[in-house]
Amino acid sequence: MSEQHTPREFLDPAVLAGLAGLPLFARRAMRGNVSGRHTSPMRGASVEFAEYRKYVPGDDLRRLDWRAHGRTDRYYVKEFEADTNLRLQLVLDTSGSMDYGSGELTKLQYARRIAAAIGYLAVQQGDAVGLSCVANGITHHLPARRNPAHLKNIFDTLEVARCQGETHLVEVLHELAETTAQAAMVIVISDFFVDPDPLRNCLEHLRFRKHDVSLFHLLDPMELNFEFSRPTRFLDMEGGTAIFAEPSEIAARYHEALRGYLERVQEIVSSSGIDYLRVSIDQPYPEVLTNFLTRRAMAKGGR
Amino acid sequence: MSFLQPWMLFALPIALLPIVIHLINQRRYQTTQWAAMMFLLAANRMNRGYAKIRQWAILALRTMVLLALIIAIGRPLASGSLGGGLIGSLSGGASANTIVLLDRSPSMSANAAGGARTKLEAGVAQIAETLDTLGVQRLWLIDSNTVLASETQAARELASPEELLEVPQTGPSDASADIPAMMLAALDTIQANSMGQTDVWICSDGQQTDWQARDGRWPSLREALAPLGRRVRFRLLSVSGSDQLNRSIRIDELQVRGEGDERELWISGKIQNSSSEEDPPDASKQSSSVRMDLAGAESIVELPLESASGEFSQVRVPLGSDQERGYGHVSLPADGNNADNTFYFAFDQPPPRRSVIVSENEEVAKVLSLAAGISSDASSEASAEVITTSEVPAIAWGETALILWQASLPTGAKHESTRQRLQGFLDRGGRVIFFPSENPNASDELFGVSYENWTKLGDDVTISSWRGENDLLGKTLAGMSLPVGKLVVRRLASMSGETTTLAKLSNDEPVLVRVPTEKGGVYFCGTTPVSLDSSLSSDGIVLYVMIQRALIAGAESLANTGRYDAGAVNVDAASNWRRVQGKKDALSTEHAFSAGVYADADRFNAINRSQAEDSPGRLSTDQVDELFQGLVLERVSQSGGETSSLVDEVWRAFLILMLIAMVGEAILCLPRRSAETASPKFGGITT
Repeated sequence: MSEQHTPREFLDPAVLAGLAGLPLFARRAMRGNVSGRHTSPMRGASVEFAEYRKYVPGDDLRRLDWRAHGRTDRYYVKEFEADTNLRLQLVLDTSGSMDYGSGELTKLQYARRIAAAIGYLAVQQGDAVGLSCVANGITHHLPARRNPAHLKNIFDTLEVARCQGETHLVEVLHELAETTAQAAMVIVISDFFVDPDPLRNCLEHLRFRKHDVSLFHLLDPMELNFEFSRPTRFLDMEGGTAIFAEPSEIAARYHEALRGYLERVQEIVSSSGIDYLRVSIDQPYPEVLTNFLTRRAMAKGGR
Repeated sequence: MSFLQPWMLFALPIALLPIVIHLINQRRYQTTQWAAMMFLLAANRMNRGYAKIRQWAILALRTMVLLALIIAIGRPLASGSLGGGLIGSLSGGASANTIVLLDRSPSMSANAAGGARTKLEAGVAQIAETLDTLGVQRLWLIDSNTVLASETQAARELASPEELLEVPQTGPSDASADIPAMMLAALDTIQANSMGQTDVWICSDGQQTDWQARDGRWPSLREALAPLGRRVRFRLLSVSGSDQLNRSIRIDELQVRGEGDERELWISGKIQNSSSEEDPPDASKQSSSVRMDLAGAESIVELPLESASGEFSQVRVPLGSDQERGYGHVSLPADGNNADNTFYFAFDQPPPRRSVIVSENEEVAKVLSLAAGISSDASSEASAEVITTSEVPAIAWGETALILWQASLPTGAKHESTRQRLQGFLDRGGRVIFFPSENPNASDELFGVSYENWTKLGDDVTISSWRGENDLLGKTLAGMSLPVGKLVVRRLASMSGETTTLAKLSNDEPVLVRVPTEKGGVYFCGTTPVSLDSSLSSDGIVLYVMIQRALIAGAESLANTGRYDAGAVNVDAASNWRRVQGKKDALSTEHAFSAGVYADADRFNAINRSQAEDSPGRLSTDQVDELFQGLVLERVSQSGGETSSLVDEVWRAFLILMLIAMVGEAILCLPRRSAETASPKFGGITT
């Protein structure tokens, strides 16, 4: 008797199959403990030549380069780059504001699809994947593991994740920067409705811990365009105040505030060398992922 | 502010519609969960000040648009002179019926203040414009001439206010107005037509002569109008005159003297300054140039005056040897009022001053004969014949000017023919003065008057008051009063009947009375000139002047010329006269009211304004208030020679205000330019 599988609404096999040909590359060296496709900071067996160095006692004699000895009469050891796997930590914002969606999907549902697809790709190429759901704290945390069975846990956690509470994203990212093993790849999927200045600090903290940080900045088209025609009472999804407004009266000011915020976020990520994608959730997520992966692959090739 | 359509004010709450819609719209909001609250909070915070002001400004402008539209439809009037106020506004500016009382007297022909038109023209134009603006359903005109001419059909209904400017009944006249009579005519019109709400417009300059504030008809009028309450509203348009110099000329006495080549016309009269301004300083103030027209022959005559305005006496104008009678006029140069610059006259050989004294008392007859037989004018001969009552039928009635009757009154069937002859004599213009007989009979009544028995008074009973302005006891030409107060009455036969008292004792007993008749005059004296009865003979001046005046007046009826005050002659008779001099455009039906010289067969009649018209006296505000006490009176002042409507419709201003408000609202509703540019267009993936 076969096990009954409930189809997960955020997993689309066709999309995963389409993305299979695109590897997920880290932009910097990863300290994996098994062989993978990512560059390791350690020297090891690989086809990629790295450098020559002087022989020191204790080195494996099999690695002496006799040709160099013949030319220079000195002992050199030929070193090759070591390939390793990466630690990918997915950070999913599950605060109240992620429950908003004016179209078919809410921001959380969109984020689930992206997280699930990236997690699947990473496990498929032998990388370790972890997941942290954050709201006013870390609500769910799965440390990174490369075991394919771990992927099920990731998916289960994504499925049960619900939006609740206020966003304490900045504090949580500081915490993750400290607790996550060094040189991990951290992908944060959020609407980033936080003050940009604290956000800058926590992103720099992640960079300081040598993490490869990527941000998926999810925004609903209604949030971007603010197209309301009637007087509206806006209820804060993270609790707090309610505002009564005539949209036509305040639309200009809203756009002004939004524009200022986006420009500051852009400036922060530009100065920090962080991979940043601003996504309107009415866009097809496969396209967004393809764009993300392709760009990373190109960055890898250029290195 | 008044409104022509005041019911539109009930629609004023509609102006609140934008606010109501705004409030309803506020209630029709939608509720939505929202994530990007941080931007909304920022926008709301930034938006609070200006947006709120803008929102309220838009609401205010929308309200103003509706308010201005409603007020414009209500047809607001600008002037508050029509007694605006809330009650006035709600009751509307126009009444169903309007009666215009028009003072056409000569004083109304003076130039209006600040304008080239006369007061009459300015007043009529303003009333026509105003009534046209206010709108009238039925309009009647009562002018001062028509009231004098007809006692029954004084009101004339007009089709529209514009007709006021066209009908000849609103033109100038030389007759004085009788405002109480016009008010009575208005009251009659209101009652005859059972009028409801009625506006009575009175257009006058308030000259005292025309208003006759002391006339006994005013209390009766107030009594009759008071019960009508607010149903009848009086609107007095007081037209003010200019400050221009105005002088009037008047001839008081005219005589032809001499014979043959030495025949001369002796003229006495006065030039009066009725304006507030003094004559310009002039070295030759002792005379005044006057243009004289004698049957078409014009000449300039220098009239000697004591000052710029004053009397001139016995100015001699040479006549032709064959010019025994004629006519003409004297005129002053144009000034502030041209209606009093011309005075018409007609002259003839003086008629004989023949008196008949009917007396049974020799002493009385002697005194009266002396007083009547000595002419006051050297050029005229006077004669007095004493007869008894039995000789009365033999009187030459057609040659007699005055009858002095001191005998029993001719009453009863026996004296029927005598009474008829006396009546005919009076109708011709003759004068009769009755004195009590020795045994008066209270049952004998003639012309409504009878004598009581004699009453003996003391030696100290004098005449306490008398009418000194005119008639037999009037002042002299020099303005001196007759010494009537010095007369002592020792015996008095009281008189009873409807009379006008000319002199009375300190105990209010009348001594000399007059019975009003159409042409002539009938006087009754309560005493006789004998020393036992009075000091009339010993202080003979009063008796002499009295009899001479009656004689001169009576003699005038014998002359081939007549001098009349405009409005004082029979209208029908005058309409048949032929105009010789005077205004050429005057209607024949208004001959009686137009100054000029008219020919009636061989007789020349000169018609002029009355002497009272030259008086500058005007009613004060308090006097007007007193006259209209208890009635609804709104005083409207004409100023600056304005001829436009007293009220202006200002709905155009409100429409302009509405347009401005609409443009302002449209500007405020325009999307802000910065909002367009600030609106980001997102889409796709950005890094």
